[in-house]
This record gives sequence, C-alpha cells and structure tokens, in this order.
Amino acid sequence: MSVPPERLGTRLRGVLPSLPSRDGLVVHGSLWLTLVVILAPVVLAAIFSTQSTTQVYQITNILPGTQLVENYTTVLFEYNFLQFMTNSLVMTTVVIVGKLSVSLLAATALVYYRFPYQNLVFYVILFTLLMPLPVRIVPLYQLMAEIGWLNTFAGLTSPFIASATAVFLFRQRFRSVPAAVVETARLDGVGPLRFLVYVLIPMSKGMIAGVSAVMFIATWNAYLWPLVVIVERANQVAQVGLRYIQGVGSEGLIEWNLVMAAGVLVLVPPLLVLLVARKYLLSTLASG
Amino acid sequence: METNGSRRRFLKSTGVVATAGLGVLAGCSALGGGGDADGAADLDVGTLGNGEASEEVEIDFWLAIGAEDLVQGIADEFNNQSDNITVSVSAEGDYTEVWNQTQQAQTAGDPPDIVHLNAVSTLPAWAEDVVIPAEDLVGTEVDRSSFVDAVSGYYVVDDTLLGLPFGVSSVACSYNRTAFEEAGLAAHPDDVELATMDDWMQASEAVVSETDLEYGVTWPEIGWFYETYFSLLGQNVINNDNGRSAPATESYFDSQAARRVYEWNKEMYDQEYYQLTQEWSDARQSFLNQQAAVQLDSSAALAALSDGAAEAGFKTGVGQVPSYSTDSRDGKIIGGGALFVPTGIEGAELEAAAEFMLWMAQPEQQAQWHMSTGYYPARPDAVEIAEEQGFYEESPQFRRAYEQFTGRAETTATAGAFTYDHGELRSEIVNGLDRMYGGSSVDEVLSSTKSNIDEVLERASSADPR
Amino acid sequence: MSGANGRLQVFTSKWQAALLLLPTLALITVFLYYPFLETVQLSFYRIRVLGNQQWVGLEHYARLLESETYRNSLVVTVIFTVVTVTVSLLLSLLVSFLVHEADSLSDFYLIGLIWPYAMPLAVAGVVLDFIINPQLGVLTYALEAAVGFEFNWNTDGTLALAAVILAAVWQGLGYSIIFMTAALSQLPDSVTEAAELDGVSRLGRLFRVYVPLISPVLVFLVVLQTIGAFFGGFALIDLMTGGGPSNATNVLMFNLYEDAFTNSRFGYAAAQSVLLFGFVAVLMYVQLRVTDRYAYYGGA
Repeated sequence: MSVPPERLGTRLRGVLPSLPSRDGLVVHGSLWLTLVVILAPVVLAAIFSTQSTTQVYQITNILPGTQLVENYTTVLFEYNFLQFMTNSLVMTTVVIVGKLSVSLLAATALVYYRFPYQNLVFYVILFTLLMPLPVRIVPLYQLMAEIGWLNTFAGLTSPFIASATAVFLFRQRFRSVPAAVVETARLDGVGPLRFLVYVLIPMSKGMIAGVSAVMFIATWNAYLWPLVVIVERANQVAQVGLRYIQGVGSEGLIEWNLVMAAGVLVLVPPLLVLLVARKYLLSTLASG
Repeated sequence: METNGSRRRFLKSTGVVATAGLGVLAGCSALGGGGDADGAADLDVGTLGNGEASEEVEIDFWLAIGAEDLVQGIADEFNNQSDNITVSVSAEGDYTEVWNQTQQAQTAGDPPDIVHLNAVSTLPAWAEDVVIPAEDLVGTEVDRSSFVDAVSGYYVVDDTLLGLPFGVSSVACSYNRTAFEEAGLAAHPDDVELATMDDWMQASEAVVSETDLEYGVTWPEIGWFYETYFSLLGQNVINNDNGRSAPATESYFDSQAARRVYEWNKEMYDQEYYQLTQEWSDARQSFLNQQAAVQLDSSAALAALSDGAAEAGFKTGVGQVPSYSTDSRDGKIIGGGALFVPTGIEGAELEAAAEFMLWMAQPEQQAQWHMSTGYYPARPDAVEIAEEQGFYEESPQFRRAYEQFTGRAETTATAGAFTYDHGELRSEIVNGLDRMYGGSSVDEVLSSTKSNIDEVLERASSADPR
Repeated sequence: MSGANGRLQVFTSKWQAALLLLPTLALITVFLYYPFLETVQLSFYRIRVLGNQQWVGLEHYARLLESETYRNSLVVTVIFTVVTVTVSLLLSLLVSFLVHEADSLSDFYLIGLIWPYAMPLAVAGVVLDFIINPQLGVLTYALEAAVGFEFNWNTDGTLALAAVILAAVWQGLGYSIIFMTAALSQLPDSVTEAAELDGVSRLGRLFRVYVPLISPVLVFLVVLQTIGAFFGGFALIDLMTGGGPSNATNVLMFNLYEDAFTNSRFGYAAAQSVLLFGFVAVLMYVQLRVTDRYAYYGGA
C-alpha cells in the first residue's frame, strides 16, 4: 500500500514531503486549499442563484447579483418548490418515525426475549441488505400499481420503513445495556413496552438521534424511487423537482440562476441536520 | 361496469369499457352499448352534448410542451363558454415523459382526461389500448378529411383516427439575415440559397470567413432531424414501406441517401461549420447569441426565434432544410403532437373530454395556436382564418414554412417511420452521431447504427400486434 | 444466543416477541422478499404494459449476454466504480491525515470537510452540470484560459465519465473522511512518537505506519464505497449526461431504469435486476471474506 509521492493528489504534489514535518503552515495551508476546493461549487451556486438570467449567462461574472429575492420566490412558488420541499419533509418524517418505531420493537424482541429460531429471524432481517432497490424495483413498482399506491405518500414511504441497519444498530446498543439494569426492571415487574419506553429509549437517546440524522439525510436525498413511484408533478419530492427545473430549459433558455437557487434550497435541510446533530451522527456512524 | 376488476383485466378489456362508457353518454343503459368499440363511432357529439350536463366536471390536460400558460389561456376561453366544464392544463415534461406518466397513471387507476402525445407513441398506444380512439369519441363530428392529409395520417392505425392533431410542426430553418448580408450572401428570403447541402456548406464558409460569427450552422442532436433529411431525399428510414405496410425488419442506414447525409454532416463538423449542440435550448442559444448563422429547429419555435432575434438586434428569415440537390426534395416529415383520451376515462369526464377535444380541433382554436407559436394548424381552414386576420402580411415566414410543409410529395418516406419502439430508434441515431463526433468514420457509424436499429426493430416487431 | 445476551433475555412470552417482530417482518416480506422473488419470475416474461405478459423463458438472459449495450454498461460501471472509489479514498486519506496533523482548528476543518456527506447527489449533479458546463461553466472557462484544455464532456465520452466521477468523488468525500478521522484519532500518541524518533518522514508515517493500523476501517470503506458506487450515481447520470454521449456513462443502473421506465421493457429490466443481485451477492461475499481476514490485523 506504499504509494509513491508523485502519484498523490496534484494539490499536494511536491509540497508536503519537501518541507519540514513540523511546519504547521503547510498543514493548515493545504487544509484551507482543500476547504476552498470542496466549498467552491456550492458557494458559486449560491452566488449564481442571486443573479439575473442575463448575468448568469455572462460566464466570468461571479459577483452577487440583484435578484436574490425574486429568484427564490420564483423557484418556491412558480416552480412549486415550496410544495416539493413540503412533500420531501413529510416523506422524511414519516419514514424516520416509522423506521424508529418498528426497528426499536424488533430489536427489543431480538435482545430481551428467548424464542425459537431467534438467530434465524435476525439473519432473515439482515439478509435484506442484499436487496437494494435496484434489484427489486420493477416488481415493487408493479406491486404499488396493483394495490393502488402509485402516486401516493404510502407508496413513496412504505418501502423505506423496514431497515436491517436500524435493527442491527439498536440490537447492538441494547446488548450493551448492563444486565443489572435489566434485572432490576424484571424484579420490578416492568412489561416490555414500559421497559422500552422508560428504560431503553432514554438510555439510547444518542443513538436514536444519530440514526434519525442518518435516516433524514438518506431519505431526503432519495431520488430514484420518487422518480418512479410519483406520477403527477404536484406530488413530487424536491430531488426530482431539480430534474424538472433543469429540464424546463429543453424548451428554451435554461434559467441556470433558478436551477442554482433550487439546488441551494434542496441542500439546506440535510445540511442543517448534519450541523445540528453532528455529534450523534458521527458516533452512530462510527458504531456501525 | 367493470370498476372493481383487477387492472389487468381492465386494460385488456378496454374496448368494452370504452363502449360501455359511451353507452352511458348516449343515454343508453349501462353496458347496453353493443359489442365492439367501433360501434361507438356512430355516436355523434350532438347526442353527447344532450346528456345531463349540469354536474361540474374537471378535466386534467397533460401537456408535453412548456407552453402551459399559453394553452391554459386557450382552455380558459373554453371554460368561459362552458356551463360545467373546467379544463386545467399542466405541463408534465416532454412527450416521452407524458407517455410514460400516462401509463403509470392508468396503472394507478387515475389517468388524466386528456394527454398530449406525439406520433412516436401512436403504435404502442393503439397496440396496448392506452387510448380511446378519437374517432370513437367524437364520431362523425370531426371529418378526417378536414385535416391536412399528412397530419391525420400520422395518427391513424388500422384505419382508425386515434388522436386529434394539435400543434403540428416540421423541421424549419431560420437564418440570420443580418449576418448573411454581412457575408455578402443573398439574404432576402426569396433569393436565399439554402436548398442543398452544398448551399449550406458554401454559406457556412462565407459566414465563418466574412463575419464575426463562429459557426455557419447548428441544430440540436436529435433523431427527428435525421429522419427529415431522409424524407427530403425520398429515402425510407426502415423497410416495409417505412413500417407502414408491416412491422419493419431492417433499417436503411446502408443506403446512398444515408451516406450522403452523414458524409456531409461529418464534413460540416470537421470544418467547424456545424456547431454541435445537444438540446433544443443549446441550439437556440447559439443562434440568438449569434454564434451560428443558420439554425434548424421545430417550426413551433419560429415565433420565439424571430422575437428573440429582434431583441438581440438582428433580422431573421426562413430558409430551407438541405437536400442533396434542388430536384430531389420529397418533403419533410411532421412532428408535434395530438390530443388523446386515455382509456379508463368514463362517464361525465369522458363526455367533457370529448367536448373539449372537439372544440380544440375547430379552425378558430387551431388558428390561434398557429399564430401564437408557429405550430401549423392541422386543417387548411385555420390558415384561411389567419389569412383573413392579416397574419401572414405581418409574419410572412410562417406562410413560407407552412407552404414548404404542405407542398410535399405524399410518399412513404414523407409519411415517416412507423414502429413500436420509435423512441429507441431515435436514440440509436443520436448514439451513432455521438460516435461520429467522437472520431469514428462514417462507415463505422452507419454500419453500427444500422445494426443497432435493426436490433431495435427486431424487438419492436415482436411487440407489434399488426 | 450467547451467554452475555442470555442474561438479558428476561421476557419469555413467545407471542409477545412475535408481536414485536411482526411490523418489521411484515414489511420486509411485502416490500423486500416478495418483490425480490417476483423479480426472478418477471424476468421470464415479456411485459410491455404492466399486467400483460408473455412467457419467453430465458430469452432476456440470452439477449443480455449478447447485448453490446449491456456489456458496455458493465464496463462503464466497473470503471466508474474503481476510479471513484480509488480517487475518493486516496483523497480522503490525505485530507484526514492533514486534519489529524493539524494542531488546532481540527473541529472547524472537520465540519468544512464532511458536509458533502449531507449533500444530495441530485444537488451535486445540477450544481456541477452548470459550474463545469462546457459552454457556460465558470470552472471550464477558467481551465481553458489557464491551460488551454477544453473540458468538452458533452461530446467526449471519456470526459463525460470523468465529469460524473468528479461529481461522485466530491459528494462522497465527506463520508470517508468521517470514518478515517475517527480511526486516526484513536491511534495512541506513542505510535506517532516512535515513528518520529525513527526519523520516518511525514508521508512515510502515513503510509507505512498509520495505514496498516487503520486498515480494518479502510477495507470496510473500500467495500462499502464499492457497493455504493456500483449501485449509486444514478441521479448524477440522470441529471448530467443522460447516459451519453453514445452510452459512455450508461451505467448498469441507468440502463435498467431506461429499459423499465422509458422503454417499457419490464421483463427485460427484471432480468437485469437479477444479474445485479448476482453482483451484489459477490460484492457482499467479498466484503465478508475480506473483513474476516483483516479483522485481527493490528488488533483493531
């Protein structure tokens, strides 16, 4: 795994090895450079989202424009992004609440009960990791058509609710609860649901927050399934809304300023979640 | 009526449903409407209109072009004169998207009342019972012969008119008159020399060397343009009379005509006379930003282009789509779309949809649509209306484009290719062009395009019930 | 179940356990196992409109084996996956190393570097589609002005794939950096001190000392990113290239989507799903094998 320095990222070529190893300047300079590169596209997008269509077509014009309010208002109301974002938010909320509920119940059964074929049941759940959406999309679509769930919230959310990952994570978490706590609960004659609500959930707050944040980002960012299952544009989610606003231009001029504004709008919610729940999110990912 | 049956059976039994629906409309008792869908063709709208018309009906109209506001404007006129029907127009993407979404909505059990599809979907729409034939809906009220032959022929399968033409177009050529003058070329539309491939080459050369414009010509990389080149040369795209007498089994990309088109195209590209653009919008931007002096586009964009050019400070004229020589000009295939009613619409909604379709097919509406866009009216009497209003005196380019289109020879080549998987045929044309611009030789491109399209045809014929 | 777990098993009612498991089992049966098995069945039928199917046996599989388009998609997918994963992991490793080396501000850097994890692929797609647009893009313009290179990815297949990979790498960096910085921060200081006493250069320390120590995390990331790239990238391709030019970016997933939902060949698409499952199964198997082998490496 030894990679010759000359094959490393171009940004670092010849810079790192030649300077003294304790030189913080190199480290900080390189990091700043990386930050700039990683941030540049969205910063530019944010700037372009304030420009008029004429300004955005002047390639070298990267100064903030004059149409911040107009552009975002147009995108939200004329291009329906208010509706799309609301749809995304409802979908995301339903999926998170559903996922947490069913996974917590299943994990409780798997850890605190003794029943036949316990391991088999766990593996049956785990085996679904082998079935990502692409390997079942056609019949899933057909199923939704048959039960009348195409173009509905039920159709949009239901395939996302069962989660092997969440069951797995909560099972891990529950197994690390000290036996003494469980024993006390048992002696007190606490039932399983009370045990879950009053003992397990408070003890797993961090992980629940982390799982929620990860699920929020994953669900908000879903693209393929909404594209397939939603028929009418008014019911669509924000990700696919980007496809619409970008496609409007096939008729005439693509208003890139509006496309950029839409992109910024769609980026904000998951970004906020990441910033707010960063601590939980990072520790949850690390434990997976 | 079969409303609770499985959708599987529902789709299979479309004919019966359509007939039953019409039976209700005609005031007969439900399910009394005889055996087959053809029987419904006897109904006329006069009878339809006399049904209980008091209940409010909302009609969803899915449009496959962006002009949502314009079409809603026309629909609002209909809404105002109707007692109980409200038509609302929503743009649902391009023709392919509307076609796919329509089937999905049918599968979901809630199709829109009217959909805007193009001729690419005619055969599968008929084969899979996706639409109720327009002829069954509006019966004798609409005489097929009142449409331009070329137009109605496009939407007829098995001698049944499936949809009512709306927004017919063909490839049209706009050129930058100002740039032509500057380049020392004949610039007046009566004299301009853009009829042959050589003309195009020479005009490009003059423009590139004499003006600030970077390119001679541009058109978006879209299969329809190449089908038009074929039809101008009198060349069928596929065998069996362009797929019209029987499902095609072979394409003609090994023909002399194909070679002429592709060799010319490659030469234009290699000389940097032709600017490769991907989307409609890219080509329009190039023309309006005065990068290329000649542009091929849909005639539907004529109005937008001349307005845009005026804003950008140059004059435009309508030229010709190039053929090999001036005496080999068979004519252009058509594009644009038609209005269809999906199967699954029934009762009062079906009645209302039929009424609106009929209204849209009238010369007044067709003329209005023609004048505000550049789409041709599907019937000659609409042209008379535009004439009376003095439209062509103000905008002679519309007449020029329309005459180029109607003056064509009616052959299987100008009728255009007819196949179940027409969309895939077009994307294989584009894939081949991509390879050509990427450096492949004309020979390689033509032979790979032919074999790829032949494969598409083979699969299409297995789905084609004819 | 293991002894440790056994002490936790305080409830014994089998029907209660069944009730608790019911929602999950019902959901995975209906939305995972059933469609998955149904995929296999549908792949034997020709279906051009849902609900109307004819038995064609193995025809779709035979066609896939012959199809140049499909073979091309497989090659494109493999290139996309290998390049994306390699570039992304190498860059993440270097960046994570820099964060580890930084004596201050590391929290600030971390946020600035991991945020693309939250960025939707569709956003990455539309933003880059404009910023590196061959005609209008400000970065393409700067690149051409600076080094004269025309990044013409609308017409050049290789460049189109490069553009999509660029977007995928950009969006995927955050995820790897999260794991790598976590792994690096858990290394004991003594390792670093020992290496410095031995006079190992900074990069030598990264590749000869740290990389072996965090190899379990790296292997985990390689496998995860490989699976992700193999099935992902759909939104990018849909929004940036539409699979073109001339299928140069037509990855397996995009080809499947087009066949099913644009060309209405549901049976043919189902056969592609079955083959995709084969690929997932192989990748997962490799994951298990490789993770097993590396599980004890370095004691992590």
